[in-house]
Amino acid sequence: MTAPLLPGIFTGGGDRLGEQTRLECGVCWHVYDPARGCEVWEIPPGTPFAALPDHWRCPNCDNEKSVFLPLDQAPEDGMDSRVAALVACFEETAQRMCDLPVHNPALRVDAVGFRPFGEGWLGILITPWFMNIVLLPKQADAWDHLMPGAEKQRHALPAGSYDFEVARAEGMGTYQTCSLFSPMHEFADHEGARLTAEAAIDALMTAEEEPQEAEADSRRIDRRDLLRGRFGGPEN
Amino acid sequence: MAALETFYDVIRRQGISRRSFLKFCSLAAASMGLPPAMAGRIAHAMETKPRIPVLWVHGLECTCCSESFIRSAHPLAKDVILSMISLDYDPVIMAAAGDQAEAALEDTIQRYKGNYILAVEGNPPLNEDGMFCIVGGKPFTEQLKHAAKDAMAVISWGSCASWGCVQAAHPNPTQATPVHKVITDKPVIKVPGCPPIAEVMTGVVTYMLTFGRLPELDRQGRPKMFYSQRIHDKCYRRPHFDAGQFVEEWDDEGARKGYCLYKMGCKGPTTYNACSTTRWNEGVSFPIQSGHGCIGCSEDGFWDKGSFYERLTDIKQFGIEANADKIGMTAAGVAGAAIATHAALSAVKRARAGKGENQ
Repeated sequence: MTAPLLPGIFTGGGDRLGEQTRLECGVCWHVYDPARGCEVWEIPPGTPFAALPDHWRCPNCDNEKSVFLPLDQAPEDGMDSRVAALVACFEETAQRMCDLPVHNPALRVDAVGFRPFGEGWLGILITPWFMNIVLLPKQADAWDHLMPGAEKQRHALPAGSYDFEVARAEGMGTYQTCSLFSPMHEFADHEGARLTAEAAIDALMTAEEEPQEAEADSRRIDRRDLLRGRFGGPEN
Repeated sequence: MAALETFYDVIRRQGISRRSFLKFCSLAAASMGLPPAMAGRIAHAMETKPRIPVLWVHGLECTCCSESFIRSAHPLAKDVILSMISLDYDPVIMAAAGDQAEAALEDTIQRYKGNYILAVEGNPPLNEDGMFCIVGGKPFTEQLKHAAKDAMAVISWGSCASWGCVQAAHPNPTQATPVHKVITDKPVIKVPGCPPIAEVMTGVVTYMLTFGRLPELDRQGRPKMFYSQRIHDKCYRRPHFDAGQFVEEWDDEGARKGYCLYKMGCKGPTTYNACSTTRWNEGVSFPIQSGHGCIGCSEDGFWDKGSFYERLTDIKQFGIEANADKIGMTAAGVAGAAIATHAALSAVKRARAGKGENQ
């Protein structure tokens, strides 16, 4: 294969592309959409770009696969690789945990619903012995000054305030966790745990309306209104 | 003379300023996990509502509950709580003794029929017609039943009154019996722990005075606001548990690094209490923080559940049994989407930090 014409273009590292990722020809801007496939080359819909045969060329300008650029993938911010590293880290820990009674063998290490949040990425980590909300810093060393176990870190999520523990792991740097479940014996299978984690992250990201207390609060007597003879809050 | 003064009257008489009083109200709100706006309500209740007469009776116990109670940091027990409730009878701290004391008990029962709270520390032994615990010349069981008959509610202080504790441990020769098995016709609030955390004890009393009702209880009769989380859920050593870093032997490298004490017999994963959030001695520390595992002192029958240093192995059974509010997800496990959502929502709610708490 000849050297790519432009720097930074797709050069065969297909494993880093999402299955749905569309790519654009760097020369003629023709877009390859996996959902539609390619009529010219008789590629069925649903074929990821990485699965295209090597002899596939741009149907418009006949350039090689290598000139294509990922189109709708945001510039790689490292979230996927960091989450993968987190999962790998706990898969290693699982080797040590599997003979303890807290280990539920029906489950495996899994990361659910990671998304950008503040200066980090927030998501849920499932392991056979816990399910935690995990906050990973975008800058790997951003929280290295925090002492694990010293002080809880409070974060305001849409659903309310949550106290996170500072955790540090080999190869993962410093991150923060908040427990949802542990141990995990109430989950009969991994599917159930995943469903629960998905529902939990949705709930965390949804603002909960304040109960009646807020309403009662707004009816407090304002001192100015009181002096003007208006009780029970402003009339208009 | 007014039969019942308000709490506010009492503290004004003691020379406590209104500023300190309001500060106390917001601390009380915070300690109960209520939003700051509720401080106003607490203040209002304290100013207007008469103090609750409390009878504090002692059965088979070690007085650790009383010791804990009078050391509450906020609300400050010595100045405040003891003024907030009108402790009309408590053999441990009352000046009267003998006939005088018994007369005070009788007087309160007659005067405030149906309006006083009976706080029970310790439990009655039922064997040999209750002869193993005699108060004022009569078996404690009788005093308990007599005082409970006209009480508004009963508070079971500590593990003795709530579950039975050490005197009810196998083979239980005196047949020590927890209060709720003797008093069956009154609401019983269990505040287990050996002893219970001081702030939890005063928090329960403050709540009842402020809102004029019992705090919300879980299925085992414990106030949800303090007993809905396990030590394990909020333990500061939790990241070490997650990472599989355990103390394997006392004084090993892991112990020095503050690793998780699960393998050394810590009962944190099955114990529902507020130790890891409220902590002890004005929030200074709690057992795990000083390097010893939780012994699960607020759980039912903790003396009979093996050594304090034995690793939890039947955690599956224990955990499910202890979790009072788990909803039918035990047998089948979490399967359906609806159950998963319910489980997720309750976990999300449980994990939330106390509203208005800002310490």
